[in-house]
Amino acid sequence: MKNVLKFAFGIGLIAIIVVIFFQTNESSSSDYTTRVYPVNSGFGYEISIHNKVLIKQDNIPAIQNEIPFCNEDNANTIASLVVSKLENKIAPTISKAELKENKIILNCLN
Amino acid sequence: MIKNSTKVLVLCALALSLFNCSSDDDNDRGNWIERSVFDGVPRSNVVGFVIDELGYMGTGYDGDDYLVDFWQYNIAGDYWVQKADFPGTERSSATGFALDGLGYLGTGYDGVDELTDFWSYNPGSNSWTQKADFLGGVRQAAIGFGISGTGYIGTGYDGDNDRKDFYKYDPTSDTWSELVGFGGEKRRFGTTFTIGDKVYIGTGVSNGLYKTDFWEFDPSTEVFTSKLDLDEEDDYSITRSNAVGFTVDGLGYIVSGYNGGVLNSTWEYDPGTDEWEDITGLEGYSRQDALAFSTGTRAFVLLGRSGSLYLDDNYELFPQEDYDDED
Repeated sequence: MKNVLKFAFGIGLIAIIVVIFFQTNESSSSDYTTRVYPVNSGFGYEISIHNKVLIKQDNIPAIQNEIPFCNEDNANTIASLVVSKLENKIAPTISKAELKENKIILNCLN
Repeated sequence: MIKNSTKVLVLCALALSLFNCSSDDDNDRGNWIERSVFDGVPRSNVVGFVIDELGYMGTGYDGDDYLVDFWQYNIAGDYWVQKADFPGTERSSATGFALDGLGYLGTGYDGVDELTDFWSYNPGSNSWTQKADFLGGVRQAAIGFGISGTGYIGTGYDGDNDRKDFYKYDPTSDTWSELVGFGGEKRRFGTTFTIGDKVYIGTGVSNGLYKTDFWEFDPSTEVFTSKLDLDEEDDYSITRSNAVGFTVDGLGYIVSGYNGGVLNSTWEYDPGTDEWEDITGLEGYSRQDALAFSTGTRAFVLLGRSGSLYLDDNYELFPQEDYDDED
């Protein structure tokens, strides 16, 4: 009888550890994923939450006209900035000042 | 003994059926489904319009700042795209409408002054162009709509008084002219919706009184016709300010707003009978100063505020479906 109890206790303990492991594993990784893709002879980005697209930028945000990012690095930089805002529950709006601060090239189509 | 247990059984059955009845009582018409939002992008008093099945919204107030950012909501894909910033002053309570493939945005309040400037947005080129100032002078909380090649802005608050004047905008010549004939009372934070080739105008507040008059505007004759008052029936509770108005499949809707407190109720207008019906209220918070997007067949109510709590959610209305509390 004692052995049976010990066995059940052991199984229970393992189950609890497994649950905790998976929960912490889930919460430690970001809910958001980013994908940078080529578009219109430049690059855009897509931000998804739990595999559902939330924001899709074929073009650089905030500025007039339809201008894609000139290179993957620029697209990645702004996408990461948007994700960090979303994770911090800040409006994911990109301002023209932020484009300048991050030295985003705005005129490679010309 | 047998008799007693039978009685108990019957009572139990009765009680159960009563409980069932009350829990099934929620089969009201109209259902709301939550759609894509940004966590933490609460704002109110934004302006929006729909062009080619895409929603556009921007400006507004988040509780700290007046805003200029401008977004496109892809209705088919349920995702957002940040577009060109609105180039005018940051503002809330502006007026906007779509007209012949362009968006128009003007007037409003920057935190200090009411505004009179007026701009167009071209979704094809993602660019803004300043147009002729609104002829009615500075104004916020006005009503605006575009129909049959002409834009209209009227009513609102000029910083001193509530107004009842209307002006029309000709996009071809970029000129404004006064439109006479609105027989309604002065008001701010009224609302409007368009059904077919007619525009409906109502709600709003002035000097603490919620307006009960309701109007139909025919742009082909430029005649305003008085419809039945919004308090015509004893069980109507339509009067309010800071609501949203929109159209789905030939019926008009007025949702949320303020009347002594924030509201979530949804009233449906049938232009054929000039009657209103109360359907399922907006799920989520009761709110004022929200935004509605309508394609004519699909409609969304989003953002707004409940007291000092600014909201960032987005709900689609299915007016002909039954209420489902589990979605």
